[in-house]
Amino acid sequence: MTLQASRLEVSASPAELQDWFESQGWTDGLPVVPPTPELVQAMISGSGLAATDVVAAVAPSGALATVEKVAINAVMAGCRPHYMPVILAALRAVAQPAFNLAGIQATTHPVAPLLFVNGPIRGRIGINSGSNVFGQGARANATVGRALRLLLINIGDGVPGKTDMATFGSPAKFSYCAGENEEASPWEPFHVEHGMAREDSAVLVHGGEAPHNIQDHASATPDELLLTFASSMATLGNNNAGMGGEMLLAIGIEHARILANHGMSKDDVRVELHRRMRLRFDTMGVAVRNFYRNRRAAIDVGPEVTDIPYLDDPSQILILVAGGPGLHSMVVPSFGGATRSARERVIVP
Amino acid sequence: MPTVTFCTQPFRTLAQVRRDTLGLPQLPIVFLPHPMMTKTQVEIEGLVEQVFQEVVQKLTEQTP
Repeated sequence: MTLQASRLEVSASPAELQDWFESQGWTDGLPVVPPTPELVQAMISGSGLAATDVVAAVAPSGALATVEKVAINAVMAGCRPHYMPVILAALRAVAQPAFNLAGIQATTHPVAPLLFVNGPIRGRIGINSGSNVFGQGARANATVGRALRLLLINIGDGVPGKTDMATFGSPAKFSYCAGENEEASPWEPFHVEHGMAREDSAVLVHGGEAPHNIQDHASATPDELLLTFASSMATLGNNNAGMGGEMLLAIGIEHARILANHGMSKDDVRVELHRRMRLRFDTMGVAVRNFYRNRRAAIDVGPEVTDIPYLDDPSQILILVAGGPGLHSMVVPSFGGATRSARERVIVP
Repeated sequence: MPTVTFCTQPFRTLAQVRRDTLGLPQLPIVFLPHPMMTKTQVEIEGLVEQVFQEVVQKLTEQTP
């Protein structure tokens, strides 16, 4: 197999080498693994595809990501070769038009592609879906998410202050990859809910903010727990408030059991949350309400109306079960109506 | 239809990259000072005065 990428002679000094990578603008700020031809070849072999196969065009540059280029960035991120099918699925997902990668790369909003992995590939590559699922500790989570970020930088040209204009950004922009805790979930897995078989593997990408915790150690009934969820989710200041769009709710395994033990399905949870989540006009000033009115027709209501549904439709609440023991859940507001989540099957060679 | 895109100064590089990526290198862009969202009506009208000639020029120099 012949590699297409240029071969560069570089310093053998680890410190000088890392300085050089950084000076080229090829990193996320952290040191990277040097992509030697041998490591890149091994990474490509993990995909089952040819080095020259094109995976996707990556916005905003529109440059084409070949399997070889994906492999180079996966090596740099610290991935193992058998992670490649997940990285490729994630890249295909963010390239779906409705995800709006061009907007997500460019915006002032602190959005990052959150990857949720489903199916047996989680066990095969060691994706953590339990305790500390959004945190440190699992190489697959850390490096698959990081590989996607390096692709967005090095192929998509998402450069902070130039083409990535995030006012603050977010720690989630380093790496943002989790697994659904299917084994502890009382419901069908996310990919099964969306028409795949349980033995399939899949990646969901959600253009989201960093996760926000929902702690409720007190509620023992769905009615009270969903009130906590709804109040934590329907807040001012995130894009969903003014633009609608999807929100992702990662329900902790103990919270999920409270809901399921009372007979609630995921659809029931969505409907009840949608009913409880309200955009209250007394929480915002006139200017903000007028600003939102231009983006959400539902706000254009009479003076007697004090609140409207926070989201347009229950289906805009994506529900996954994740994490370990403890009475916490997480809400991940999105880029708003300017993005739609995207799903891709993981094709294992 | 003759078109002009408005963009504030900090987003100049991003606008130029997207313009070129989309294959529209001739797309006219008028750059404005940042920020726009918090300007008063009077300030906005002052800005219109500043860029009006540039907008007219860019709209009228385009060939169909």
